[in-house]
Amino acid sequence: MSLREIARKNFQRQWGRSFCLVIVIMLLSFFLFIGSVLSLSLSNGAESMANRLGADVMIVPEGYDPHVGSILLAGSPSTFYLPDYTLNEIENLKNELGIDLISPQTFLATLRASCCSYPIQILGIDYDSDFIIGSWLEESIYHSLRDDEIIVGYHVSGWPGDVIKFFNRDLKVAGRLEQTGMGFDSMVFTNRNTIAKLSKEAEKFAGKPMRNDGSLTSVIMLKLKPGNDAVAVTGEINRRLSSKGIYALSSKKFVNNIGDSLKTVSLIIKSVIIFLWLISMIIIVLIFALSLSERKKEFGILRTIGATRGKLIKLCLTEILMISFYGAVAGIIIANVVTAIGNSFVSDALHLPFLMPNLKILIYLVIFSFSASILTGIFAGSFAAFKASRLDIHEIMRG
Amino acid sequence: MILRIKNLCKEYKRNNLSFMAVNNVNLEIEEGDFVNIIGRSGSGKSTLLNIAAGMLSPSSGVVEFNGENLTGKSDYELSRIRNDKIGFIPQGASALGNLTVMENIVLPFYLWPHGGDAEGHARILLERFEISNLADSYPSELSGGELRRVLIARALINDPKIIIADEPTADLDSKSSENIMKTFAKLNQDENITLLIVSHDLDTLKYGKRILEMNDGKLFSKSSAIQ
Repeated sequence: MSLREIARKNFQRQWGRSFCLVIVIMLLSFFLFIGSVLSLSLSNGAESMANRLGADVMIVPEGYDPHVGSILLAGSPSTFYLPDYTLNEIENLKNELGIDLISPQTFLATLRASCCSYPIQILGIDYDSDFIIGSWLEESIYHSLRDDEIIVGYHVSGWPGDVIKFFNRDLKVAGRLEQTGMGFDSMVFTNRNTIAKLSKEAEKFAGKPMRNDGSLTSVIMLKLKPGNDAVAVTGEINRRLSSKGIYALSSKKFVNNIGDSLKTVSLIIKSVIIFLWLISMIIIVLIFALSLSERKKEFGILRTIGATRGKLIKLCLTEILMISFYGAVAGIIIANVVTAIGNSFVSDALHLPFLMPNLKILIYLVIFSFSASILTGIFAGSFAAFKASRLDIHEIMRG
Repeated sequence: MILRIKNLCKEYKRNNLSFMAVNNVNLEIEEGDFVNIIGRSGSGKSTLLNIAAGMLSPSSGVVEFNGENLTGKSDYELSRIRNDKIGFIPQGASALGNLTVMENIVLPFYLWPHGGDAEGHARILLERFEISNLADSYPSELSGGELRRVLIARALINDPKIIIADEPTADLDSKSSENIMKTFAKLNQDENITLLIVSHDLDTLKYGKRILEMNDGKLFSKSSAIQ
């Protein structure tokens, strides 16, 4: 009959009190874990986007800048093209505006029809000029994409060797991308030749050309020479070319806008965590303080039969440790299940770059949430434990 | 000498007025003694017992237990003495409600390191007090008389030098009270266990080798003060 055994019996027999406290700790550990995962996923997503965007300026058809955002963040299928003279216009400004690299990309949305395996956004890369995507695409296949080969994003079904059909054209899956937390996860990548062929097929289905001038360039990515200000270059391009249906946007501004949204969401999550942490502390202190008055007799009895003040503190802390342990374990298990099931829903709902932490970080988060919950329980419970130890035996036993 | 109380005083303040709950009390208890202190509620009996058991410090005077002065001892030392040498039976239903009868009885044994077989000893005590069938019951399932016998068994588990019982027959019917007092008397007669009992129940007067009366903090023999 150790103090631990007494604590266990108290935990079992006073199930109402134990249950309330376990629920409080469970909610705390649940929200600590979920909140930390959310916060880190958003921050990872933002970092991934900043790393993978790679261009200083993006040139899009006028009025299509919101489409670029939804493609990059959510991979929403969209088809649009720049006027065919855009590339020449930008080339003409290259030296004057300090542009270093120019790379066109082609977007093509597939159809929800028998011609296509599934509706999705295809991104055609010009390997000759690409300075952004090609390098990390090659990490998954170790060579440039050949004609009629594709690489699928993390959330797209299809494995290397599979054949997928778009616009009645069979394409071989050459590789799969690691998760990026961006719209790239829901895209398919191919080279310029293949997307040109696919566009021709798509025109047959549409019954009209994609664009009357035959352009197959959706966006043009620009990398500036060191020392050039992207915002100033963007402004200059818009000043000169906006009348021609061409619009430039600064990647930095785009990333900063996303970053501001991320900061707001992260701040809300952190505030909720701090609020819950404080509420949990208050509830535990209150429940223990209330139970202290009903347990005075119990503590008095223990003192009369020879328990020291230290043993009373140990008993109370053992009880709160048990409660905190069960609560923290339950909270973390539920949080992990919810994270596994719900992370894709959350990323869709937030419309922000969302990249789950890797397994190692998740294990650290489990340890952090578990330890923080247990320490919170012990810290809050220690007030009551200390108070119980200072009770006057004579006063208690007199009732 | 098991217990020597010398010039013991305990002063309290109520509404800014001080009063003596225990007023210059002297008492000596030898091994094998059975002292029964009676008195009205508020006469200072429980205060005296609590001081004697090291649970309350006196305003002045000396308490010697087994030749050892309790004054100035730490909580650790006093708790050890209470656990090893005193079998204290508090007022009322003072068992832990979340533990079974068996667990309540062996609890003092496990609070401090002791050698021996606590459960075996507890079974013998349960047999002796004819409650062995209640070993796995919880205190709430017991009658008042059964519970008091459990508390006596718990007080005896560490073979103490003295049993100190505060109102052991309170809230019991006359039959149960008589049984409890007979149990104490038998322990004293058969096993020479030293007993110090306080009660406000006049029916307990027929038990005990010495009957003392407490009134307004002073201790008297049944007819005259013994200081």
